[in-house]
Amino acid sequence: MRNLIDSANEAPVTHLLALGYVTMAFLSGAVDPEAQRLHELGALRGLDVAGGEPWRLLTYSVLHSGLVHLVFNTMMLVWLGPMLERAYGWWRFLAIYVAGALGGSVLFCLLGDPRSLCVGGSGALFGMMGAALVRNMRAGRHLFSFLDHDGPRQLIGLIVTNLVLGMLIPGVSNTAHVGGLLGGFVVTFFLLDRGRDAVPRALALATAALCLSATWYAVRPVARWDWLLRQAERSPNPAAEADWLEAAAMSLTGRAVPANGDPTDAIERALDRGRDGEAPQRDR
Amino acid sequence: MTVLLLWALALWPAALELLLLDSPVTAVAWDLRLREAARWTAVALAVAVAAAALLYPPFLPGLRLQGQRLRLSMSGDRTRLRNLQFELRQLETAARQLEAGRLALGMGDARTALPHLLRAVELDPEHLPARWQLGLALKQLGQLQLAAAELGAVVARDPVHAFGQARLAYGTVLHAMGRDAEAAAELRAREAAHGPSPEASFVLGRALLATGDREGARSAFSAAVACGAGAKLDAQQAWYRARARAALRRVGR
Repeated sequence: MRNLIDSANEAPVTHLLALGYVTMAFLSGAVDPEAQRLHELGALRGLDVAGGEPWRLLTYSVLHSGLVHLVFNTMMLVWLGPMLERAYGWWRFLAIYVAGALGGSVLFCLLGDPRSLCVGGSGALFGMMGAALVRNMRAGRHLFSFLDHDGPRQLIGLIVTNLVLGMLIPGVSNTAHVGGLLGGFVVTFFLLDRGRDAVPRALALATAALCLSATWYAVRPVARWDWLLRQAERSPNPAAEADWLEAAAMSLTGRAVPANGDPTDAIERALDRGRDGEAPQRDR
Repeated sequence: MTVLLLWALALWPAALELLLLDSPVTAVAWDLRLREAARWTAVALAVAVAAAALLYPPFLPGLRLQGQRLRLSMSGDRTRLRNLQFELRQLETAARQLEAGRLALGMGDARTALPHLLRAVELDPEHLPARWQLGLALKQLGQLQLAAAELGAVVARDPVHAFGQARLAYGTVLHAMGRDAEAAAELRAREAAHGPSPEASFVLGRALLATGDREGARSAFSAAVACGAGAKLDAQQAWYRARARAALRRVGR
């Protein structure tokens, strides 16, 4: 018990996150939670994020789709978290976690099917691995000297193994993994751990602008069919509604609607063809 | 270039918002156009690389050389350089200035190296290694007149300095300045003392070609191609050997 208290004192955010994972697992039905319940609790879905629920970009990262998923991610968090939290301090560690979770969700929203659900903390965990990579890069005499040591090489092996596993196991969203890795790496490298050889300001600024703009586009995807359909539903006059519908059909099919064609038909046909995104995807 | 690309991507959602003010169809049409353009750019880039590799065989060794330069610039020991720069504020000697300049130059950072090397030469004008490194830094920065003066002074005092590398650099600078007859003389003298190397023989061939000695150029290019035949050369020598091969094809075997 004393060990646990000491450890919680050293890495409070890690322990709070682990507690959050377990609590949310109980609330969602730990062994085999239903997609509906996960959705109610804040699972990620591009449709909802674009529909005015941006908090899902973060809340998905404390939800899990089953016991194995929960145990695996909690183990990774408890293994990697305290190391990073001790190295960077609690608020930087929290920033890394948030950056990883946001990176994963933003890339999932940008590249994934907006109808599919995604839950899990592994986007954020990949972000932590990206941050650990930066820590190793900054600790050496030059950016790549860490490759001379076994420990950091194993970290790269771990990242690659997890990405390969993500490709092999069905229902795992590797997009969120890659997004999380990029999010954690970029935020740590450019902002939190800039090192003595300062990163060029212009490059840091452009990267920050790109991250913000990608997050903005995930919340307001003005050229994506689901957002355009929503605008059509809200549109007050029929002419404007037709415009929105035509744009949605174009976005969905990738080509202009023929002059005498009906955009609603084109949308329905395209949606029927691609109706396979209903099962929740695991972010690990 | 990277920064511009990042800004262009970052501003794209804002541009879409502006297009949306006109009509949603315009915004989506532009979005689709961008995606199509990105796809075609990737295809065009792959085709361009393949075509360049086929039409200009030194292209791939050139890529390897650029990769090596990038790796060296990113993996140089900056901590050692920083420590030296700090120490130089407390105690300055020509040898330490030279060490700092050499470290920076090794990372391909001639701009950082130059003030250290200038100061090293200022502190000890007789220090040949400092003048040789200064000549190299000036050559990298394109200051050919000054580089020729430094390298010429080094070669005049020690013709075999740095195992003939000083003479090779001097010959290369003279050729770049259009003083091809002098360049050829220096490079021939270097070859007599140290034997051919892909780089030296290629530059000699170019200098001879510029003076109108086609036969001499051909034999120099042949020597460059024959150097280390069958052996794996480092990126720089492989680049010169590939260029010599292409030049030999142009002048006729």
